[in-house]
Amino acid sequence: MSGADLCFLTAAELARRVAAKDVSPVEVVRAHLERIEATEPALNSFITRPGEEAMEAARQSEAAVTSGRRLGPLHGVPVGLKDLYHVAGTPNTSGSRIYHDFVPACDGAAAARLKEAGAILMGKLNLHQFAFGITGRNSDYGDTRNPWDPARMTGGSSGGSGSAAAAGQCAIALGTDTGGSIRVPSALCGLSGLKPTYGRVSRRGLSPLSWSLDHPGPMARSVEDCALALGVLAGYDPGDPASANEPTPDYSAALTGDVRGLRIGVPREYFEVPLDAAVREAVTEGLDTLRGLGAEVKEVSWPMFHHARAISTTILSAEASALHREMILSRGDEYDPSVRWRFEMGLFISGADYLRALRGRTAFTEKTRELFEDVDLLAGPMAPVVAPLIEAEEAEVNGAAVGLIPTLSQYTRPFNLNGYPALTIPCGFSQGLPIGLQLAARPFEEAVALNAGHAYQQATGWHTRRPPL
Amino acid sequence: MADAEGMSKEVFLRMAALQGVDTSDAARMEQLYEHVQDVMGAVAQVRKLDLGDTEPANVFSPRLDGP
Repeated sequence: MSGADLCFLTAAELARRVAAKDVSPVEVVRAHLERIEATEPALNSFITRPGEEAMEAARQSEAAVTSGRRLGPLHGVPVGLKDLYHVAGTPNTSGSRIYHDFVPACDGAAAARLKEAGAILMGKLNLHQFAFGITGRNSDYGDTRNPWDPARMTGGSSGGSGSAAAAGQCAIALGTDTGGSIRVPSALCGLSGLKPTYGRVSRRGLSPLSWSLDHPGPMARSVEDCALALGVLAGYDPGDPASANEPTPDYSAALTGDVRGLRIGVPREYFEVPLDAAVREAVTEGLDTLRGLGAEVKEVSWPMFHHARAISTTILSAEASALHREMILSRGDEYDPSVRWRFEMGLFISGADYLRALRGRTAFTEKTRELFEDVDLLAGPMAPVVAPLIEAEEAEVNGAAVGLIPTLSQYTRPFNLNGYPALTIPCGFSQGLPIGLQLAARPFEEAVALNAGHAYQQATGWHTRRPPL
Repeated sequence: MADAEGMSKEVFLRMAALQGVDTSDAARMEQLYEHVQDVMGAVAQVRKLDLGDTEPANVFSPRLDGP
């Protein structure tokens, strides 16, 4: 098997082959480093590239295999982390030169859990500055580029995570999702990406954007790998005040592929906002596939969907500005101008308006809960368009120009607002670019969404396509 | 602060100064004003929601040792 082929095995398959001694962790990491060397000039996925420390970790990983020690579920698997996840001894920039020299002394919860599971950490991945943007552009470290067409954006904010996992630079990448930042780049780059339930994965050691909207989670080339990663990442952490003390199921074991009788609701409001015709067609076919597998797919109504953006924008702007207030006032000229506006806008939101938005959030979540009395999943489009050109400031939907930022996040924000888990999976291509289908479940029922996504991927081959790069 | 029509320029400049924003660059303040009008549009939409006696989604717990 060539090095490039090794880089496109799933994480689950890599872990199996490493455990069976069919391939060594050193071979795996070397192949990924070569892949990075070959593709990084076109993609710019990394802020800190992996180097000798990854090879040293691979050698230790190999020694563990050789000596017969107990291996974790990600033993020898290369995992990249968005440059918000603290890793001891590795710079953590948050995508800004302001933090260029910040080197955490301790691993955050995610890095610690990944190491414990045997993963090889593969550097730090590029992002929209401070995770406050949906395109993946970055004036300090350069824009991330889409492996399906480097003239196109990856989406963001976890843009480097999207390009790295899609291009085989790592097997799994971690992203964060405050308004769609895992799911948008996953959809635009042809990945499976999971925003878990709020509180399911610890935020300890994660540079924040918004206390109540930030969700860490995995991005990978299959749902099976998202399940594998979630199994490692999930669990109660007293070091995170928002961490949920809920039981953590075996997500991989839950992938039965059986969706017979599963009730899937498709909100009609999803089709009352800008949506490209080719995306709509692919999503409709995706829903037909799930119906063909035995799921019951029906239209539902979710009028509050139309208020999600206003409520979440108010909360996000206020919380992000509160976090950055001192720095935006003292070092604002060091921010990317487009990001600086966003932080400054929140300074003008009153306490009364912030609290009113939080009341709106309660109402929104209650309506979502009522909706889920009749369905097990909500399904629909993820991004309403395929990846736009990098320089685009507007999206073109069926020949009409619409605002890029609100359009790209119109289907994602509702699930940051209510904290429900949401998964995107590739369900087709248009213009040679991937299209995503979103599946959202009740709180702490990630396994339901993952199993439906896995069933879909057992029946289709979209997720197995490789970018031409 | 904001009403359905947004925020007046006068109120915006006064608030900016009170918040500590450097208001010396008039062109930049004009651009910031446009962005603030955008977010005030969202705030105005939230203000119109019929929320009855719904309480805010922030939970205070006096326990500091976790649930």
